[in-house]
Amino acid sequence: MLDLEQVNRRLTTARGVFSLLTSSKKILFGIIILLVLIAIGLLAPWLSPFDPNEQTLGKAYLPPFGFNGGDSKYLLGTDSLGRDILSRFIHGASVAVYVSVVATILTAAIGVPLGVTSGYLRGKFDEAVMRAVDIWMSFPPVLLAITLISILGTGLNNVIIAIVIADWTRFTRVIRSEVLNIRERDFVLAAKSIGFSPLQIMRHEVLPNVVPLLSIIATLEMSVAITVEVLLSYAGLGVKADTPSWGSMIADGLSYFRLNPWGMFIPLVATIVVILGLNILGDGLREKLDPRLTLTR
Amino acid sequence: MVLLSVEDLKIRFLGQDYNAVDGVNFTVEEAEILGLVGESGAGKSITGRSILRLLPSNGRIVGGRILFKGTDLLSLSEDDMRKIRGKEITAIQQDPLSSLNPAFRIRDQMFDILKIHLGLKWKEAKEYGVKLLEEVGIPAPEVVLRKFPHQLSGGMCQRVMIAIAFSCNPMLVVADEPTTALDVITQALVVNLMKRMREKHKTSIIFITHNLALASNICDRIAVMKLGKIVEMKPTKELFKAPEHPYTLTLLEAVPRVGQRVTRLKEEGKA
Repeated sequence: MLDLEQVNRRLTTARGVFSLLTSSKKILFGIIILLVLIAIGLLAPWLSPFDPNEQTLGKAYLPPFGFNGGDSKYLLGTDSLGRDILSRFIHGASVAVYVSVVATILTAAIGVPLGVTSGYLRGKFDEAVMRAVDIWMSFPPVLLAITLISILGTGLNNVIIAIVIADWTRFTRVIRSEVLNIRERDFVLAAKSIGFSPLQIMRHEVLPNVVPLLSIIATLEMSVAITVEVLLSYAGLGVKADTPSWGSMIADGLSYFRLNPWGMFIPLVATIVVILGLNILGDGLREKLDPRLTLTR
Repeated sequence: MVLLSVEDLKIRFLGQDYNAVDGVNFTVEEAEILGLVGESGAGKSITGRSILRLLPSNGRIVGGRILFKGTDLLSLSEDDMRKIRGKEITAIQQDPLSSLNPAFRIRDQMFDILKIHLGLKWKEAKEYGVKLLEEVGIPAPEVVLRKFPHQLSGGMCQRVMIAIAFSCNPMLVVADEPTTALDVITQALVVNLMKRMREKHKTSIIFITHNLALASNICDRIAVMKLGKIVEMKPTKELFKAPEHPYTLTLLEAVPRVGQRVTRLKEEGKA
């Protein structure tokens, strides 16, 4: 349970949000990684020196600039088809940003309304939603995503659809359990006693109070989305071949690993750093927003 | 004129084989303050909440009638009931700090109600809100309107809650231990405020408390509750002058007096 008074003290003013974000090294670390990723992703067309699919077969397998045989035109070297690894890495970042942001927004858009309504209304509707969630969760998510991709076909947007369909339960479950707690609070009773309708209570009283929790799940969902996309692309089930993605770069890099290991290492390390950053961010937010954890230290 | 009459009200919680409120009868006159007094678990709060039909989810009204201006509230649809809540009957809760939504500024919470029930526009709501807060004795209402609940003290919050409760000129206010979470001085302020609001708006109040001294100060009549039943109901003065029921006597004697050494409180029937 989140202590709403304490949390809202932090989240309701701009200064409060800023002090929250800078109050812990974990949050700061995560935020910086997230911001750098988003910046690279959004500025990809201007940052990348080459077209990510431009092939220069005569210049294949170049190591990064500074190593023996490196070329100052290709700062991070080239892959088996002579494509600039830096450019592919930058465009891969924009794929990661796109997938994580869109998939998170869509999963939240499905999961949050379901969680709030089933937690607040209870009864048969709640029962139905929760059983659906149980059944859904009995499928291993990655297997479910692979199955969905084999039905939908590959492509960036299909990857997002697969993530959303496989992962909406995360939001529903967690938000519902928080709503179960909020609906018993006095201010909900007070709202009822001045004649608010269930819909008004859900929108005005309940929803704003799950925002802190939402921010924690959203960061975790972003990292899950990136992982799934990398995983699917690595397996050749993700984005189409002309879309540079870190997953497909890792898969490519593995095939010419002995000739130029950088082709695999760079996207691999980037993936690890980003996932780590997002998880640490979620962790830091939880420590700050959940008083049960702050009390124990 | 009788505003509210509760007849043979019975409330039961699921899974229990006795009635938590067992055949309660009382009436509330117009502009009257009726006190519901009793120990914890006597059924005071449940009786109060049943008037708004806002029982906890495992509570059921199993018998009786609640007549408000002649209509039985228990026969109304949930939609009709919602129109009555806030506008004609409203409630003030025990803990003012948790009764306000922590996510919003005071003004947003207040104006919501004014918009819904009175159909006011933002600007009108603001003028009216300032007036309401001035009425409950809040200095610098414009400043308070911009604050969040956690930035206000308990007494301030309770005054805001009272302002909200009286905003639509309700005919009946169910105040469920509105002063329990407050210190004595603030209690006095809040009680006087409620008396003043009663004079001004001609509102009836059901004042639920376990504090007899407080009840004697504010209430016109007091009903003493025990184990789901009203054991004695009298005008305040008479009750204190000549308590009839032994339980009332015990309650009165349980209040310690300054200067008197009490080692052990008397139990009922062992006077």
